[in-house]
Amino acid sequence: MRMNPRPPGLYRWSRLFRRLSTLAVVVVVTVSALAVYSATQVRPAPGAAGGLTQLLLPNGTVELGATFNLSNPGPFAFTHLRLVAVVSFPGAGLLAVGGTPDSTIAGASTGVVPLTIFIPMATSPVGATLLTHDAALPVDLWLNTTYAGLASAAIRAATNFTWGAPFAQFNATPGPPAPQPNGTLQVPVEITFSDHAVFGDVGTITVRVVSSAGVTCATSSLPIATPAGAAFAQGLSFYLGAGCDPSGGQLLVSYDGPGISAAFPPEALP
Amino acid sequence: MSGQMVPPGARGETTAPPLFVAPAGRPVARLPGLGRRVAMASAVFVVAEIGIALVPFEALRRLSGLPIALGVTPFEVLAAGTVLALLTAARHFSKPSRAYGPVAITAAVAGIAYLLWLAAHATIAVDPGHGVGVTLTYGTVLELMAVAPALSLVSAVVTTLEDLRHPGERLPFDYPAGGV
Repeated sequence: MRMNPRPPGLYRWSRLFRRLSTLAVVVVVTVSALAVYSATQVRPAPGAAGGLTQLLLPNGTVELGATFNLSNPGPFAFTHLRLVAVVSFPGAGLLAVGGTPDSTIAGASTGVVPLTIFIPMATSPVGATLLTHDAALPVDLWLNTTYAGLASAAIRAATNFTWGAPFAQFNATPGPPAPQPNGTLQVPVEITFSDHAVFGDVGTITVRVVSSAGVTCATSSLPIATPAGAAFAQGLSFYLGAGCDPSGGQLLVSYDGPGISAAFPPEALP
Repeated sequence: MSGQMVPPGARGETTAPPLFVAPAGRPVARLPGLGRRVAMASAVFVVAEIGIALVPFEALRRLSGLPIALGVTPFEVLAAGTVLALLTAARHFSKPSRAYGPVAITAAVAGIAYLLWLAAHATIAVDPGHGVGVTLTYGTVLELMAVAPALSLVSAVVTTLEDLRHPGERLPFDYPAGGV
């Protein structure tokens, strides 16, 4: 039996790189297969929010919040995880943008991804509309992340957010003016609305009776504290002096609440 | 066998497969005959063609029937995979010859280029409707995979150098005769 001597140096180097090449294939394929399998095990964890929560902040901003819990049982991490949400108002375009900070969900853990969107009710052009009208607001969601450092995913989803107006079906209904024995003119006004929001209405409703000449004949303020989901109905009576003819005038109603000052659409006086 | 190298001290090669018998203390090579090389290269081609051309082609062809946008077409993968399979087979066929190094370099460079090209187009967009869309990008996997042909390239360059400096030196180790 004849034994071959040690291979020459160049041959050994060549052989080493050939083997490393094979090893590289094995490692990359194995890690990739493991990553694919682990990715299939990712699930929404119990406690994941089913919808958005609403909160009226003192600065007149409505905060929409949601929390997504993600169970990542595999050994690989989600990195650069970002969620961006854009809320639109039908016919008026962009209403609000929100999102999450760049976050990481480590392997073998459950990550919590909080999403927060702020709707500036006080400054938005459609803020007054949202005060009085329920709406289905289109929400576009984008999620970007990298898994195992190997693959990145971009997921977009479109959904609707049901907005409940805090002063839904708001009406300031003037009644027929009635002359009084003392020479004044009584103008009854009925204020009604329903709070469809998930937060209560707290603040002051101010009603002004303005003549056709633009002169404010009478003003009344009405403190309100309406719980979420409740209906509101209250009558007011204005007594106008002889110098103020409400005929052809307007009823101007405004709301002042925490961080919000809004005027409701004017109502014509009979 | 044109272009086939003869290891140092070779003599007595009268039958196929040729057996090179070296003086005492020198390694001995048993080079495969032409028929065996063709058969083995063909087998390598068939396996490579299935693995890197036909299976990806069929997978992409089936996916293209779904609402999925791929970065490459099935026929591009089939064509590139077939070229790579041919180069792989050619590399295997040329192993006992001086052409092995250059052919292996060509195959490795082609492999690197193919994987980097795939990496640049490694995007899958799924649009199941209902306002949902998913885009997956997996170029990093293919870039890492390109490390393998890069290492093969280094190996091929070293082999080319070895063949230039010491023709036939590697043959007894690539094709050991075993016991004589």
